[in-house]
Amino acid sequence: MTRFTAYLVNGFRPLRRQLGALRRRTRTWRRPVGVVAADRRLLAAERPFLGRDVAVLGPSLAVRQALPDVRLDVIGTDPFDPTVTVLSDGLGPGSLPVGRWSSLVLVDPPVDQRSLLLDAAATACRVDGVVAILAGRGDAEWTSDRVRGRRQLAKLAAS
Amino acid sequence: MPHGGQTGVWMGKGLILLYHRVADQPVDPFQLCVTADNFRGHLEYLQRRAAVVPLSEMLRKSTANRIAITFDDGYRDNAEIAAPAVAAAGLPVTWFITVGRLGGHRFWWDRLTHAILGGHPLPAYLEIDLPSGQVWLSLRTWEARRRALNLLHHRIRPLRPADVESVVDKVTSALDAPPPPPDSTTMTTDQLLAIARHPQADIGAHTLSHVQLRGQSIDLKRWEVIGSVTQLSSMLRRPIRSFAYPYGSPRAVDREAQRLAKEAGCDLACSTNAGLVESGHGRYLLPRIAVGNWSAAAFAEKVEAAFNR
Repeated sequence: MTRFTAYLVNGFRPLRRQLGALRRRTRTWRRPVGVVAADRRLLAAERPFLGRDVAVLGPSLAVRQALPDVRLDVIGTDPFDPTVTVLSDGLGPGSLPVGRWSSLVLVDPPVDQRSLLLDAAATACRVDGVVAILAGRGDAEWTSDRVRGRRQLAKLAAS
Repeated sequence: MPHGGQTGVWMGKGLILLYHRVADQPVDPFQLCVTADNFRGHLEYLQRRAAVVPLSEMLRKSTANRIAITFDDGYRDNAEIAAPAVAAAGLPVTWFITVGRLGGHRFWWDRLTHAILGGHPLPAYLEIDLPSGQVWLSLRTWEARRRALNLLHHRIRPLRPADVESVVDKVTSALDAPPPPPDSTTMTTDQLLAIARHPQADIGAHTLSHVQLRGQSIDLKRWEVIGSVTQLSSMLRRPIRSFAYPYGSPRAVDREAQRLAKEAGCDLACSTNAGLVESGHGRYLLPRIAVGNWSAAAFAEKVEAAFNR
C-alpha cells in the first residue's frame, strides 16, 4: 500500500462510518423521513383551517405532532388503546357524536369503507367544519389540496 | 413428566388450577364461569388422576407431578355448588376470599357487565367522565357494547376502590340499568365459615376490596393485603397462609405487594401468570392456569398438555 492509498483509506474510514450510521438510521427509523413526517407537514400547513377541536380516525401520531395545542380526540375500536377517547368504528351516521369537532382527520381510510366513514365524519363536524383526508399520493379518489412527497391531503367541507 | 432440576434431583411439576365461578351465565365476557356439569367432569378426571394436593404442597419438593385447585373472589356459587362437589370428590381446595365483599355483594365488573350487556334497551352511545379523561362509547351493536365494556373495565381496574364504585355507579345510572339478578353475588360470612369447616378446605386472602395492587399507595396496599389476612384470620380463628393477587397479571402485581404478602405471614401467593410451578419458582408469585368452561375431555387434554409441554 502506498502512502497515498493509505491516506485515502484513512480519510475515507470516518466518512464510511458516518454513511453506514446514516444508512442504518434510515433503515430502522424510517417514519420521520416518510409518511408521518409528510403527514405532519401537510397538516401543519392546513392548521389555520382545522380549528381547535380535532378528531382523528386512523394512526394519530402525525396529528399529535402537527397540532400539539388542539383538543384532540382519537377515534378507534381498540378498547385497550389508552389514547382512544371515542370508541367507535366511525361507520355511518350515528356512529360518532354529532357536530362535535371543528375538523376530523381520516388517515388512510380503507377503500371499502370510505363512503360510510365520510358520512359519519361529515355529521360529526360542525357546520363550518372540515373533513381532512390523508392518503397516498397515488390515491386518485380525492382531489388533493396539498401534496408532500408520497402523501396528499384533501379537504372536504363538512356541511 | 419428571425433569432434572438444578440440584440433579428429578423433580415433578406443579399445576395450580384457577377457577372463579361454577355457574351458567348467559353472558360471561371475562370467562369466569364453568358450568356445574363441566365442573363435575373436571373433578371426576382429577379424582382418577389422583394427583391433587393441597396448595401448600406445591412448595415441597416431589418427584411426582401435582395439581392444586384454587377458587378466586368468593362468589356465592363457590359455597353453594363448587364446595359440595369438591367435598364429595374428596379433593383439597383453596378458596381465596375477597374479605371486604363478603355478604351478598356484587363485584363491580358484574354490575358493569349487566349494565352494558344485560339485554335491556340502551342508548346509542355513552359519554362519561373517567379519572383518565372523558370518553364517548358507541353502543349501537353487540360488538360495540363488548368493546365498550372492555374499555371501561380496562380503565376502571387501576383506580382506587372508592373511585371504582363511583364510576360504575355513574355508568349504571347513565344507562338507566335495572338491578342485576341476584345470582352473581358473593357468599355470606356463614357460608364462608361452613366451607372453612371442611377438613380439605384451605382459606386464603384475596384483599379486602379486590383492588389492583400495582399503582396504589403503599398505605392502601398494606390495608388491602395485611388487612384482609388479619380480618380473615380473626373471622376463622386460624392463621391464613396463602394469598392471591387480584387480577394477578404482571401488570397488576408489583414487588411491594409480594413483600406485603410475606409480611402478612403468608407462605405463598398466587398470581394469574400462566405456567407450571417448577423448582426455583418464587413462592410469592406462583403461576396458575385459568380454567375455562371446558368439557371434561378438553380439560383432561389441557392438563396433560400442560405437563407435557
